Amino acid sequence: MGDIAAWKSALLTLDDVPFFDLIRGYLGDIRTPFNKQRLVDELAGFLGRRENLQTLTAYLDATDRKLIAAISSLNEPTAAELTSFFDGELSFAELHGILLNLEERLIVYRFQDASARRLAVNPILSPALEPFEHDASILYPASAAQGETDLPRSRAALDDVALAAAAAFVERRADLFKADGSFRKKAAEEAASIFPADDFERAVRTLRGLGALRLAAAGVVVDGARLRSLAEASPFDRRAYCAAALCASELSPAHDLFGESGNDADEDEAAETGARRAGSPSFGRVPRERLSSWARLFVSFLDALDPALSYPPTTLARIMDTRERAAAAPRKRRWEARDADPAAGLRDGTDPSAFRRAAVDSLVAVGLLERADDGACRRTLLNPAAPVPVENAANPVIVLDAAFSVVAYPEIGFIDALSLGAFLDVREAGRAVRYELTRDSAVRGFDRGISVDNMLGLLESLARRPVAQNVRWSLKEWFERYSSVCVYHGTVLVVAPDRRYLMQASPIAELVRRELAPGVYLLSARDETEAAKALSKAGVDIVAIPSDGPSGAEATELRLPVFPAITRHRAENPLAASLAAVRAASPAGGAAGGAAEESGESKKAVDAKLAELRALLEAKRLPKDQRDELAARIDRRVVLSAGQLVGAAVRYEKLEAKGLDYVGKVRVAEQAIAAGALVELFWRGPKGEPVRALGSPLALDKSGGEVELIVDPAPRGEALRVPIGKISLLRRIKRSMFGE
Amino acid sequence: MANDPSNPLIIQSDRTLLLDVHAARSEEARSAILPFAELEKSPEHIHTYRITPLSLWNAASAGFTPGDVARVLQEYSRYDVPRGVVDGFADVMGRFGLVRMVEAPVNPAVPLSPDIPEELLLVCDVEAVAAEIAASKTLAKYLYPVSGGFGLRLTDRGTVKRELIRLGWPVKDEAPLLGGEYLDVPLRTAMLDGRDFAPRDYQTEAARSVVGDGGPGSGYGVIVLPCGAGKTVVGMVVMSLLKTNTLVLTTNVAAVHQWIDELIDKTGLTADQIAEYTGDSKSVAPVTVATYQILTWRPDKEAEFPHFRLFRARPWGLIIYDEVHLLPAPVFRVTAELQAVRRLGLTATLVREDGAEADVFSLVGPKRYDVPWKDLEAKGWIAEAVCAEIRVDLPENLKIPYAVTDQRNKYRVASENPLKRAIVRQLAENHPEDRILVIGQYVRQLEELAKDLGAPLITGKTPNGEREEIYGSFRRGEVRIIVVSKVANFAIDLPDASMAIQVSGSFGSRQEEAQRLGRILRPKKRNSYFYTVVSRYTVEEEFAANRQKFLAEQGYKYSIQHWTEEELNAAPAPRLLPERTI
Repeated sequence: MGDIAAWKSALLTLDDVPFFDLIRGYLGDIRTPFNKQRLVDELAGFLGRRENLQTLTAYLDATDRKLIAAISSLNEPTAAELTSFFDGELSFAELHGILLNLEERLIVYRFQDASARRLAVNPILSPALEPFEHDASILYPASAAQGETDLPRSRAALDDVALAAAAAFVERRADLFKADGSFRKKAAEEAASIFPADDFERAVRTLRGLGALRLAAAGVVVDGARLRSLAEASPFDRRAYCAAALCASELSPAHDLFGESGNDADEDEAAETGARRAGSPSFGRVPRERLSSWARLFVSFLDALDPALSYPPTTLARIMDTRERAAAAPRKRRWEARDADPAAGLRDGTDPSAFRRAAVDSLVAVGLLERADDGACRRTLLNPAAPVPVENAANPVIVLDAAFSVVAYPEIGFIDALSLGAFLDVREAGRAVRYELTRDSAVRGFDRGISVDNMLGLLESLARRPVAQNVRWSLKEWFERYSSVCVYHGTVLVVAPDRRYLMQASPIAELVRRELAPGVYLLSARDETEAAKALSKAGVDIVAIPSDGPSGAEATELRLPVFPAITRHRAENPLAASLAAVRAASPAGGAAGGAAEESGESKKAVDAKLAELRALLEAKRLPKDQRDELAARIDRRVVLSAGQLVGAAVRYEKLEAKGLDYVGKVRVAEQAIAAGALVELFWRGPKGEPVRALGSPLALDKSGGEVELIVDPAPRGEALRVPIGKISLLRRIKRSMFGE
Repeated sequence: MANDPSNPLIIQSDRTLLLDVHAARSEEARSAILPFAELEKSPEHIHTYRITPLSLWNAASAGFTPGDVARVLQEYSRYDVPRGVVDGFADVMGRFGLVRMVEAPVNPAVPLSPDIPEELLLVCDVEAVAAEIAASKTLAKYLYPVSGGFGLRLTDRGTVKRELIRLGWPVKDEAPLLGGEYLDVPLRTAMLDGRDFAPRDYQTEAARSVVGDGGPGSGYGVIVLPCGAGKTVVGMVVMSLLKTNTLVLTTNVAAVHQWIDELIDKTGLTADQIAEYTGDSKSVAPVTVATYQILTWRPDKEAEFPHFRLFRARPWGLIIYDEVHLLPAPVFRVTAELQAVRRLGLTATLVREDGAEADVFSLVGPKRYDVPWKDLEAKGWIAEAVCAEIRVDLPENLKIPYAVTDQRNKYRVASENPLKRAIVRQLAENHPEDRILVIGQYVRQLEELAKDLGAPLITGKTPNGEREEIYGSFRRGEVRIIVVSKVANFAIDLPDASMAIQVSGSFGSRQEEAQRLGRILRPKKRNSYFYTVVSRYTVEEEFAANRQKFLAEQGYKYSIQHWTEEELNAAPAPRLLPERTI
């Protein structure tokens, strides 16, 4: 709530016309000579009267209370911030209209601080409004969550097991994508037979967003190093990153898959690898900064939720709004002067409601939120503070049989599931994932340098039982055959017999993948330059690098942590405490938004009061326009006492015109153009469908015998030309008396 | 309700059910899901069942509701039941019964079609469904609109039902089945050799699952039991329950004779009540046993099948299709016309390499009974089989010819690897106590093996009489080893065979593998051995992998060994698979 001096100052700096209109509306005719300061004091006295406060409080409806609570809770927001907060719930025009009404009723005022015009609640009304200002349940209604209190760790479609299974599928189908980035039909059909519903597409979009897919000569391949890095994150953080990646891909589905994902990505790539790797451009990857900031935002959002409560979409959107602004605050200084919505940068310029919808959908998809049939969501009990689960040594997490089939249970760790996918083919993905060991899948594993012993070791450790003899035998047999005929690709080092002692030196020894023949070594170096550097470190001063040598390598060396742990600042999240109050107020199973609702009794009292005022007005002998305006004021709940029903106190203003009132519509349009005010207009489209537009009127243009209103629409688009005759309703959106 | 992590069932979104057989309540769960889920495979740890529209319709016909199915899944599920899985049950099961097939009215006010003598009425209670059926071009050939629904010929009963299943509208067949002419088929309590006889529990259970309560929807179906589990006895139990004239169709003459011998041995039927209808003998009696081959014979490709008259030669009340997975296409057609007769399909393997399993189920009937092979093995009803594959290198002089020959011939070169002969000899020596079948694909190879082993050879060219004689001497123990081609794949009962060595086969046919294994599964007091000899580093390995996978999916352990040419040339040490006591 603002302070009284600020409120008085805001009124005193009003232009004369709105100032005197306001004063006359409440105090009646102004006697001259007048003193503005005294008039404001008188107005304060008028409002402070007990009976007026009571009437004003009784007049408050649910929307009024929501706005009052929001302005208090958001700590003197700008109109843009308030619009963002109610995005998807109240249109700009609706919100603007409500704010004008609250200003007219002296409940809300605007003031200018160093950077922007802000909204505040009138401090004079503090005794009456305080209960609403601090009631979080008005803004964040929630209900006690139904069903199990012991939520499982995951019921998600996109959990670790599904993500690893999708990676395994891509691993096998490097030809998955067409040049335009869509799936090849055959591969898509195969994926559809393995993965339920659209899980695969969602998982692939997540992998892309995470940067876990990249282009190689063979097609799109999985970046194993990046996924391993993701596996090192806690399950909670991992899901937050996945949600961020999925959300980004939801918001830009038309991303050019085979192109670059933006300059940011290039910079990231360079930062991570030290140099761009030839042949492995990013593939729909979300820039690191955005991925991290969104993951942090989601964690902060989840921290604000109480697992015992179920939140409707509007509440979730509002909570997300507060978290967006909190997350954007440290960067605010960069754009506060030019950016009306401080979180717009954080959202990468996406529409707030689209962003929040995609964010919630993504959090549901990864299992951090669970959605009920009515659309309300609750937070799952995946505990961010829990350490990475250590598998119970007694329980197997896979079952391997002699038919070469491996069933992985959902309890399997992400890194283990990824490791399985490196040498198994995924056959069926659901709650459990069924893999199959085939000759081709084993060869794929051998190609990645996984030995038979490693494969057997992993299978046995996860299954807690020995691998069947025929499977073991087949793996060894396949490796024998694999090793007997090889095509190598990479950097080869040839060392003369008298220099082979160099191979003992660690810089070189670390690079050796395999000794192909005496003195012939296959290196894991990315290219010959890296090999040369290692040789140089070992003291070799002349290194031959024939020009026709191979270049490039597949290994990814990430020098920066790709998916750093997400730090939490619970203490800095005041919303959590506020929402805890919601929980305390929430009756079991009932809605916790009751304070925002009007009771039947108070509504009756308000109706009685309004009826009384209307009767008084009816009894007065006034010109029609004054009577109409006063009646409208009663309806707008501006009139608190009978003393305000003074004809001379009002100035009639036509704000809207309908249907056949052609002249009225022209007049409203002309006034709006002159005042630079926005207009809202309604008409029927070519097929009779209702059309609504909001925008700045530019001109009235007579063309072909018909007058057309030209409007620059908001949000910006092609100018509209609508014949006045066709407009069914034209409304001038009044400007705020405080100058907006 | 939170799910119990020790529950045995994992329910996948595609309606596959994974049953952890080691979990505490796995047997209970298996019984609970059987009415609405079909067993797909049963390897040693996790068995796979699948819920299909057909299995749900069968459940609906047995009185199960979508809620019953959902409750069972919830009860035994280890994790949450995926939402989509249960959602569709009501829709699928709700389709059952919307279309009914009933007897045409005896004295209709408006005659259906007086010139068609045998007809049925298809009734649709929902207008939209009736419209969809009326719009089907395929069904237009069989259906004609009449008051109250559609009329159809009795002979089109099976075809119409099959087409309606394809359209997603399973028919509730309430039209009566023919009773057939009465024939008492009592089961003996002692066989001819004096040993006690009584059907095993699972055989009776299987028979009852087909016979049902005699009401609509019962009296037809398929029983899946492994070879050696006594499917013939199931057929006899069904005959004894239905007490009617019966036509048995089987794969070859030897199998015809075995059926007749079994019927005489285990039922009160006399020899004059049973007839053989084959190329050798074409008589008809209250119980007639015929081959598919004779039924589908015709003088030329354009001619009718003259022996189809057998189907109408007597008022059959039951037709048994032995090895139903081999049902030839022409018999499919006639089966479609014989939907008014009760019918029983018997098979060890659901798989048809032509993918026509669905047709078998829609024409003969749904699968009524299936049991994992290893369950019967564990109870001692079939022999415990030890499966092993021996890989042998190609001899040096064949490696280059193999590398340069075309793909098709590669398989033959690999199959006829001469080193296999040495292995077969070695195995025969290693198993002196076993009665051995050496099975192969190529006659030349089999002739060489028969010569090596001094064993009789049976191929397609061997006359039936000679075959019977060889089988007889094997059964009597006069011959320890016989070499057979694929003619012995099916329906040959050699109870004492305890070891099979397959040296070549039909490109990895799973059906063939099951049948060959079945030859040695009759219960006996020792293990059975099933050896497959495969040429290493050849295409034969790929086909062997299919067979290996199939056996493992039935729950068999499978081991692989590598025998080198050098080892075979050296004085060989006996290499036996470990003997396991029963």
